[in-house]
Amino acid sequence: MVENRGLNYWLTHVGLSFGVLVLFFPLWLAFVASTVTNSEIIHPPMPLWPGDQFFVNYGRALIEGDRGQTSASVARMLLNTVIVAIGIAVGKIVISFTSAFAIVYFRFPARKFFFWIIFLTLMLPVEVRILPTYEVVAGFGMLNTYSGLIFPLIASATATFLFRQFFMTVPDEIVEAARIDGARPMQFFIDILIPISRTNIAALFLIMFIYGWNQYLWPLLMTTDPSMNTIIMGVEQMIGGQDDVTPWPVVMAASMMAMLPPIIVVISMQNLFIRGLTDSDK
Amino acid sequence: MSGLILKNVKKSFGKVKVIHGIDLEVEEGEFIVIVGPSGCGKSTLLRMIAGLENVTDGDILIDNLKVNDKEPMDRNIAMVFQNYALYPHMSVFNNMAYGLKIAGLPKSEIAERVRQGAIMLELDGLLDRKPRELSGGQRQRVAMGRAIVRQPVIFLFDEPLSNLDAKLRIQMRIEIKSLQRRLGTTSLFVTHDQIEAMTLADRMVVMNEGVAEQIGSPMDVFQKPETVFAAQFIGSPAMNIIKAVSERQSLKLVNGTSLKCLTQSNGDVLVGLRPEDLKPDKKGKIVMNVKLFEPIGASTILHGTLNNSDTKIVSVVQGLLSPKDRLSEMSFSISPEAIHLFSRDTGKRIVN
Repeated sequence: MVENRGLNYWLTHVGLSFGVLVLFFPLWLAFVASTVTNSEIIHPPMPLWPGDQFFVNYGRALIEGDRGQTSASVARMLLNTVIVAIGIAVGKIVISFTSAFAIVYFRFPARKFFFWIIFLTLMLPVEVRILPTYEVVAGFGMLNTYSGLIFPLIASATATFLFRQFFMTVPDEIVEAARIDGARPMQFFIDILIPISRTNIAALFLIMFIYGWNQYLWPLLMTTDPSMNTIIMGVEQMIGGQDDVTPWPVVMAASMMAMLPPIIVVISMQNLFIRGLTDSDK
Repeated sequence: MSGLILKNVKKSFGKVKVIHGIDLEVEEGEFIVIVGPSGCGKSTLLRMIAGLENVTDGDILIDNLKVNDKEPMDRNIAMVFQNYALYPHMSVFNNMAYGLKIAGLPKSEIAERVRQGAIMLELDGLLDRKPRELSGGQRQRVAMGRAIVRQPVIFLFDEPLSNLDAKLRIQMRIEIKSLQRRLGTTSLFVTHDQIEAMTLADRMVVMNEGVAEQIGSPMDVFQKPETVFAAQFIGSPAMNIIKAVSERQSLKLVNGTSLKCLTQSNGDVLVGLRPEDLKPDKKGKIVMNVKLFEPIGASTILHGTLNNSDTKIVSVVQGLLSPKDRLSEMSFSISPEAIHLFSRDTGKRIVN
């Protein structure tokens, strides 16, 4: 359909704009809620335009959190989450890149077997193996540590599989040319394989960063110390129980800030991401 | 001193035998072309020499040193691949320099060697470009440059011209030949194109199903093919092969036509007649039922069958045939020296 005149032109825009409005309305409400006082939220009707409490609420969220009752300050939680998300993304890429390298470029006994074992772990996401994982992490004394938050999540069959598929599209001749040039396997790995996988690595980093950022269950289970909370679980913890009064404007401010880093990462890496998933620069 | 010696080299993948024992001695500075249809094992043979495939049996000697178990880089060879195999993320300079860097040469020497190679191949303006910013012919040159700067004992070419268009292919063919002459480096060149083989080779190896059917200079192979396969593979259009029975010096073709030839033999034979040796002659004994005329400019190719038989034959007639000369039945004669005889059992040439 290449119709760009008359009624259709306007209809498509009206339709799209309506869709955008529907999608953004909850976000807008959250933003509004983060700029008013608690009493304004609790007493209907809910305001639809931002109030004057923006700096108060965001400042409180950033520095105090919910006054240390159950969670840390948003600043602290953002820092934790950035560390964890980057740790998970980098760890996943390092592990899956090297294991895909081993599986594609080396002939060793039971190569297929190992590949399928890795592949099988696709069926075992964190939620399924959460108890044994907890047991192991607790055994190593890694509860309430960054390494405890990161390590159980970095084994990735998906990324291994994606890298394997990409490596298999690298022409054999390039590998052979490198052999004739005298490159040892690790020289080939560093000088050639990593540079030509650049866009794929970027795309995976983005996906894995978001994945790490959005982790909820695992951090919830293994952090008891509020100062190790991640933002996603922290926001939930700020919502008080039945007895407490939930400081909604602060919670909403925290939510808004929790959304920002992934958005920044996505926007800044958008070009690389699209190139990584579509063409492969060969 | 020999550049390269192959002693009864064999290769099998599992139970499948791919190369059945090839012997070859290459003089230093010689240009050898290995030619054959796809799947004949020619690339495998080249890759064994390069060290990319291991040798199942037999010996490979480079500079009189057995290299069977040596890594490619220790064999002092360089290889040019069909799809160039340039490193896509490296500039032309780095592509050419990568092997030298790994070998640990000093930077100044690397720069000097790459510069000289680039001048030789007219790449000096392109050293900063990435492979994707180059045309096919330029990429081909970079691939050759990468080989040259290594200053190897042997160049190995694996169908390096088949990704180029027809015009460029001819141009690069000439460049490769003159470059090889200038450098004097022993070269092995694999191709399926018999014209490339004829024009480039000092000697050629005609391969079929893992066997070297004939090793010799292009003219030897063309004029005295040792087997039916070599006879049909070299020369275009391919040689006509006709069943016949011979008695001393006379031949009786499958359709009953008798011909005289110089070679003596008795019994079942195959007669080989080059299409261009069949001369139109109203009194000629070889009669062809013509099915198709293919004018190709300087000459016309005639496709048809030998009369009273279903044996297909082809002939090439000089010039364009005017419509009134395009008869459905044409006769040809052939001089007795131009007749090739092969044994029907072994496919080998019969000589006296």
